[in-house]
Amino acid sequence: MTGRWPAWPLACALSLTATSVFADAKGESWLKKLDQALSRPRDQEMLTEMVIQAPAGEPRRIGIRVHVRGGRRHMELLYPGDVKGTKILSLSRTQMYVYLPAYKKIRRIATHVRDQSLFGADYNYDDMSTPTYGDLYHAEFLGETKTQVRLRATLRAGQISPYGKIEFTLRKSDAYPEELKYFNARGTHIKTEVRRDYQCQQAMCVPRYMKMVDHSRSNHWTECLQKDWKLNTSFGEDVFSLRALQRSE
Amino acid sequence: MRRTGSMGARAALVVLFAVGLSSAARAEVSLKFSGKLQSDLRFRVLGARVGSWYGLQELAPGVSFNENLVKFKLQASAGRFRGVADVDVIAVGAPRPGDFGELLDRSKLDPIVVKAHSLFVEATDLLPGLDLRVGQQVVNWGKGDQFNPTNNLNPNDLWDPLLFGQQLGTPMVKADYTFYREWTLSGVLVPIFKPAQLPSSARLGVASLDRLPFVEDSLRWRLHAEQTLVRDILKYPTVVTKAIPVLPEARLDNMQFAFRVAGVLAEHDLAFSYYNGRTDMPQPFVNYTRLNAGRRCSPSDPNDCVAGMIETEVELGYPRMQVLGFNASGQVNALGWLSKRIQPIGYRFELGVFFPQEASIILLQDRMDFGLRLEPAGEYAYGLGGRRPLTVKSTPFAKWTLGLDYSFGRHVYANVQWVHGFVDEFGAGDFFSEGWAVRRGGAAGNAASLMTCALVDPKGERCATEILRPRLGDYLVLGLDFKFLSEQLLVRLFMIWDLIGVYEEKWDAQANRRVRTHHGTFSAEGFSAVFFPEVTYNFGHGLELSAGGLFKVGKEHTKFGDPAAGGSEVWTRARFTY
Repeated sequence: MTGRWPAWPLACALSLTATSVFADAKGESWLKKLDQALSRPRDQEMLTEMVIQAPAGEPRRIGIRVHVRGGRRHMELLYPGDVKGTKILSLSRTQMYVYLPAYKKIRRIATHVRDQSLFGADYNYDDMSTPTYGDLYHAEFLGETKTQVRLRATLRAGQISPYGKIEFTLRKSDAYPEELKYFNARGTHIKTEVRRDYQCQQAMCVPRYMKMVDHSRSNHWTECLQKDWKLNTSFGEDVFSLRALQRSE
Repeated sequence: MRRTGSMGARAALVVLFAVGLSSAARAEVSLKFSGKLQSDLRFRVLGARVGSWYGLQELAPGVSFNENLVKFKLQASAGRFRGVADVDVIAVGAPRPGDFGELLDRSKLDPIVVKAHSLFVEATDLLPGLDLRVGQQVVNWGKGDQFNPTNNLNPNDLWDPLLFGQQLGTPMVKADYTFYREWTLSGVLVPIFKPAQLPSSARLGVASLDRLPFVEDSLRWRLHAEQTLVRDILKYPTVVTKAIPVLPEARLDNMQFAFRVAGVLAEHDLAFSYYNGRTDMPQPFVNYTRLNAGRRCSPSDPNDCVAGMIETEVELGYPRMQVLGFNASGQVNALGWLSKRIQPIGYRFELGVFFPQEASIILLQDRMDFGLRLEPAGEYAYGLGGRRPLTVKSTPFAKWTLGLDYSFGRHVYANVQWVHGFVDEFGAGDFFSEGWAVRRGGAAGNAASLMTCALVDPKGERCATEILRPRLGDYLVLGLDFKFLSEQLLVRLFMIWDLIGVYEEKWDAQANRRVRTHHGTFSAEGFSAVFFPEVTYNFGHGLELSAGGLFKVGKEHTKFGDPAAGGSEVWTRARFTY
């Protein structure tokens, strides 16, 4: 017992040090605003076309229907045929499932798959299952202009993410992000995402256009084009159940 | 006239009402249509054969498979109700007219097979939390990849070795009741038993007469000695002329049923199941033998002659079994302590504990006069104290799959599995309880010693030689995916490796007893593996072209070198999905 007590103040000191290095009150406040903006809708239904740069020939287009409620997300791939019928259910950052129509089977997605590309896109499973950032990252205020705020978010101790740091450029008016720069654990800038052409309903907005560029893949890019967006339609809770996923056949 | 007019108006109203209802209903119905067109062309690079010029079964080198398939999948849903049809229409592409008349028969020249994976209707929340699905369907409870000892409701579809793990759709009634969050209780009833679809190469297995299925050593040894004696000395080889599957009658007590409770606990998916039914792999239960005397010689060698044939008909049954199942999947951070960069490893564990019905076999024979010896008609004298020999003991046994997977960077995905008990293995026989499968059998010795073994000291133990494997093997399954060009190019290396090897058993005159020698998995006699390389390029818009090989390596007595495994092939596939 006596041998263990000195560890407590040491741990607290380290924790405080970490907070003071990677976070400040203004940054934390803006990160909170960002999370609030992103989680403001009760639920959303979206129809998105993902356009993936192809090594040769025309880009690959994948149609996705997305249901979002809180931190839960359900995605159904609509086209092309080779991925049609695939469904991804994200109940939390550590509980994700994929339904594979060719095998008529549900498979749990392990954490090591989270930073894997989603059907060759520059978005990965983790991008799809991270609805807010405050629980994962500390934030540090980097600066501001008349219209924008810049933050640097650093991964909290004990959290797992493909990104050690993210630099946000937020709209000052409503805290929606316009640009996100992703860094890996070693601090290398690996991806840049832009979100623009926001459309808004009831003070809630989504970007009509998103583009992720992966610098570690020779600036390979993926665009997401919002085709349809419905807000607070109160669709059934069943969408986010394993039971519904089992009925995918 | 008025009456007619009134009736006409009423009829018109009814029609209008019906049309109105139907259009209202039609407005609510949503239809989803999908499918694929696929063309498979395969070449067997090495042939496989069993038997001599009499009773020869052969898989010749050359084009081994040329199927063209169209899949139609239609889902119609209206509110909480839906119907699903998932049907393959396959042009088999191998005309085999048996006689001139069949040249006039289009179904023989252009054979078409229709395979219904799903044809069911489903009601969701029939009562709160209760879903009901009725019709042809596949119930896929196993968490393992391709090796699923708890998937017992549907028979295995082993027709296409590239689709290993696929199951045949079966008519059944399934009810799922979600009683708490993600926890579901399921019950399934299968009214009519359906056996496994075997691969075309399975006929070579039936022709492998030395693979005696009896549990009792002494009977096997004696029969090896007898078979060798009558084949090599008396010149009466044994051939299988007919193998007749006998399916259980469609009676209430032959219906299969199963229950399962499944849910999520502490971020692990768990399921416990119980199945009561039958194995889908055939087991012999009646063997009828008769002598067809008459000298005949090999067409290619007039000196290679026999005095006649011992013709055997075998009836195949499907013993009952009960299976307790357990499935778990999730992830464990087993190596995270080494480095923060090592992420949790995904795992899947699937266990089936089988309680088989004891199965015996009846050996019947016609009167057989070999000149030297006359065998009376009737049941064979087994020498087992009045009971019949067993093909399956009632000893419980377990089959399982433990799978781990991990991604190395963005390009490499690895999947490793330990499989205990292959899909065609049934019956106790592993490190828990002894039980052997004969991979090759015969008898050694001259005419005098064979006659002694077969007729004088009818134990046969001094003559019989056998190559054995435990009834349940252990296999390492390794899959590696290499993804390139935005995942449009997939290079897959897949391997199944038999970890057991084989045991050679024979009489040792010096030791004055039978001795068993183990030929391990690294030995020339014991090594056996499947190598399955594949390259697929996805052109986008649903078009994929693939090519690969399916190479089965090992001696003929091993698991995969077995001619009944089908030999080695190279294959190509073009697929368009929509």
